[in-house]
Amino acid sequence: MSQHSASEIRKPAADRLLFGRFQHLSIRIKASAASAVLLLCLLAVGVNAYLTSTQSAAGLRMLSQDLVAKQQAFSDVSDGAVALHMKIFRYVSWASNGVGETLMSSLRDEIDHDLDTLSGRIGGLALRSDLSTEEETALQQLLTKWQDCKSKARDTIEVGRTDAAMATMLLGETDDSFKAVDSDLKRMVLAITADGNRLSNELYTGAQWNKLVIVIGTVAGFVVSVLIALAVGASIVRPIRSITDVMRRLSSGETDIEIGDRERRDEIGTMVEAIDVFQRNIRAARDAADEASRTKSSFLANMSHELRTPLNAIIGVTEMLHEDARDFGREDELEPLGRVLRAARHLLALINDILDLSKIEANKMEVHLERFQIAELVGDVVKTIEPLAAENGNQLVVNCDAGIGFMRSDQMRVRQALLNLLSNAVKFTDKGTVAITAEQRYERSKTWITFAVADTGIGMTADQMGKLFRDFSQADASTTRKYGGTGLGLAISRRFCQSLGGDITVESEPGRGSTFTIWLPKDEDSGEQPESVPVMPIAAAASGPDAPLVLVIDDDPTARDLVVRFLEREGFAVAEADGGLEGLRLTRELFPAAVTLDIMMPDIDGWTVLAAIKGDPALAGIPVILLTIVDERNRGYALGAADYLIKPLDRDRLMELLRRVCGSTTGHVLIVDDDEMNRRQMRSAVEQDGWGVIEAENGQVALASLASALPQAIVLDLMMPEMDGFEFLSEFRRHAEWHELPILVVTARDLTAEDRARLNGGVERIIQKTERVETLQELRRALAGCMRRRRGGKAAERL
Amino acid sequence: MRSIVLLIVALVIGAPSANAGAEFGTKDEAVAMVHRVQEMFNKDGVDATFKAINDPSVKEFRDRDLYPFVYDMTGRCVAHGARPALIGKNLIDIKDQDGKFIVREAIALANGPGHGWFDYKWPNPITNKIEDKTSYVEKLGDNYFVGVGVYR
Repeated sequence: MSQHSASEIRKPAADRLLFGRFQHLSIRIKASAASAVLLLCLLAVGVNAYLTSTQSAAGLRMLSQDLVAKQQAFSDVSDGAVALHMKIFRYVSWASNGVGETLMSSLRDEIDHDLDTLSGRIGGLALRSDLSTEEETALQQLLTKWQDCKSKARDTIEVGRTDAAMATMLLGETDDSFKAVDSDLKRMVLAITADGNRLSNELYTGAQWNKLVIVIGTVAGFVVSVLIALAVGASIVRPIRSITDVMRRLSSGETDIEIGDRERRDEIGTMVEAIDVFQRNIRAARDAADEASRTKSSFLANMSHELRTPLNAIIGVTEMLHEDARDFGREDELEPLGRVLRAARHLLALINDILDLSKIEANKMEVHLERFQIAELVGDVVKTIEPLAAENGNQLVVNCDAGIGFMRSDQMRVRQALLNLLSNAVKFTDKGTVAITAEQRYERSKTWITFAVADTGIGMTADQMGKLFRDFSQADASTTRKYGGTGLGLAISRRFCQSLGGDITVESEPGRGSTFTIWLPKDEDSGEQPESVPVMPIAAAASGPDAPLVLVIDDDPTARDLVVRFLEREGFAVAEADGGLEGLRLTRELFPAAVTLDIMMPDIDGWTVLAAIKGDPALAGIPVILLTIVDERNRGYALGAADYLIKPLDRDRLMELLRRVCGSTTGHVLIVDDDEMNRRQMRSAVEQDGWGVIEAENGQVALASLASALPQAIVLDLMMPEMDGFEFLSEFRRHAEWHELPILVVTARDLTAEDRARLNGGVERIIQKTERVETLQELRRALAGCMRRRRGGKAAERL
Repeated sequence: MRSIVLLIVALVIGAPSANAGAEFGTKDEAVAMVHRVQEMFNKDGVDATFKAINDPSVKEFRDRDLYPFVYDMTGRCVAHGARPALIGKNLIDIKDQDGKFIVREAIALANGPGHGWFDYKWPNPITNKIEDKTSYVEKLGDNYFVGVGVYR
């Protein structure tokens, strides 16, 4: 049984060995072998044909000349013998009938002559060169018989001279010997004829064979050559196909291809070996490039961290100083601090642009898809750009249907691109109009969202437009100096849009303004990103005087301090941790309402902390906001981060997020103003910060409202009918229980010294109405400041 | 029938005399002529005997249709009393009309019993026609045979 299976196994192995040997022959040898076989066959056929035809020619010649001549010679002799025989017979007959001596003598001479002639001719036959041995023997015998015959004939003739009767007696004997001679001759003629027949048969058979050999040789040569050609072809074509496939895969980036036919020792084997070396080189080059790229990426990440960390510190500290200076009216410090702030922000923007571009170049750009309200995004962006537009005296026109709905894209990138276009538009337009139009369009079997930003600015020539999207290029180099900026913004924005499946197009005419249009697919679906990470708001922390606790984890003291101070100002209770381990410990101990987490930390990094928090069922519900320089949003979301903010800190966004995850941090604001439009504007402004709003159109109503429910702050207009602000204040001061309520006065009135004296005491802050947006922002900041101070006091009490 | 009659006549009438009155020679006369040749051969020798036989004027060997013929053992005719044309010719293969080898039969008799009779056809010297003949042959010396025949 085992023997049987063993032999079964061995057989194909032997086949493979044979085929393997064939494979190892060089292609040149194989091709030569195929040609050689064909040549050999042709040669064999040719030689055979040549030999046979030569043979046939010789045979035909022999048949047509030699044999015929020989047969003729023998026949002639035979005929001569017969004729002579007849003459002898006639002679004896004449002798018996007594014919006259004259005739007899003449006949006798004739017979004598004939006998000699015939002797000569028979002797001539014996001398022929074309006689076979048998023929020679037969001729020798014939000669003997002829001698006998001749002597008998002569005897007969001689006897016949005198004795006719005796001649008649002798004639029988002569007859016999003549017959013997003649029959010999006849037999020889027949033999020659038979030779001829045999030869002709041989020639015919040979020709037949030749025909057969030619046909078989040709066919066999053809078949064998075709078979060898096919075999050689197969043994060349198949590996070449597989090599082609390998090359295709190599060029498409694969470098771990198992290449067959490597064990072959012919040219293909050499080729495969070379390709394998090539592959190994590519692999080495790729590994080296990957390594270089990794090095570069980590360098970039480190650099961005190193650059941004101090810059963030500068910006944050300066912002605080700026706010303090404003809050405490140190006007002389405001201007220089503002300048430092602008310069630092510009520097940060430059660094961010360059980093963005390097990320794009390195294909490291991460796309984070989410579903968001288009109108909301536009409103947000417009709000941000409004102060800038105001600077150049530009009118902003927003055309965005609230019902345009949602789109799915990378909100951050879209916002960035839109901001870039808008800031360019307002920058290059002076006292004109900048219109932003968001629309839904259907084109190229896709639904697109377009954001068109049209300005009435300086515009561009076609030539300038051509250079527009190039990196580091503004329409005119001189504009850089005039308008500032890196010139990278547009290029980066366009790359963003392209990476989101869209593009930016531009139409422009010098002097008549430009229109930049962002095209983005409404529903860019790449991968299945969760629409938003569900967050569990901590209901318990949402209300009451106890502010929600936020744990700030960051190793950099400056950055941590910035966040802490900001959060405190915004009314949160804050705990700090200077590293990952400490952060985890505090998370478990304090059970905060939310955590802000840095990624790059010396002991354990943010990823590990995040994973640990999300991996602990007791802590998993705590929302973690990543606050970092590392742009790996997808990884963050994948690990369960509630949101991902990239430094420098976007305070508004952080607040918004914290409010979302922690619930309201504030309480209610009583807004006292007679102008309904003003009330609404202020309401919407403070509602952004999570305030609830109670409205009152005059002092009377406000007092009534205070009697029923206490707000956390009061925003008061001075000029009102029924009971104005001053009156309301004097009434208010009579109630000791309202003593701690901060009052913010917002007024357009130019306050006199008398007015200020009336307002003194009990009023937290006086906000002079100037430009609408500025005023509202100041209001929000002032409200937040009140709350901070109040909470600070409470926290102190608590401690 | 006629030959039987002739034979009887010859036996009765002319047997002792060579020149007896009968038209044809008899068998006895033929035997007697053979013996005469033998006598002469023994007495005068080969050449004289042959010469005498060949010589038409020697009556001793010519009696009507009787004549002696002598061949050597190869079949060559060495002496002939009737047909000189044959002298010197080798007739070992000669056959009569019935295909009978004449000389060979004679040689066989001479070499065998040494003498005897045999029949064949041969031209009659008188009529010159081929007729039935019976000849008696005897061995002559060591190398020859001699014969004399009668026509029937």
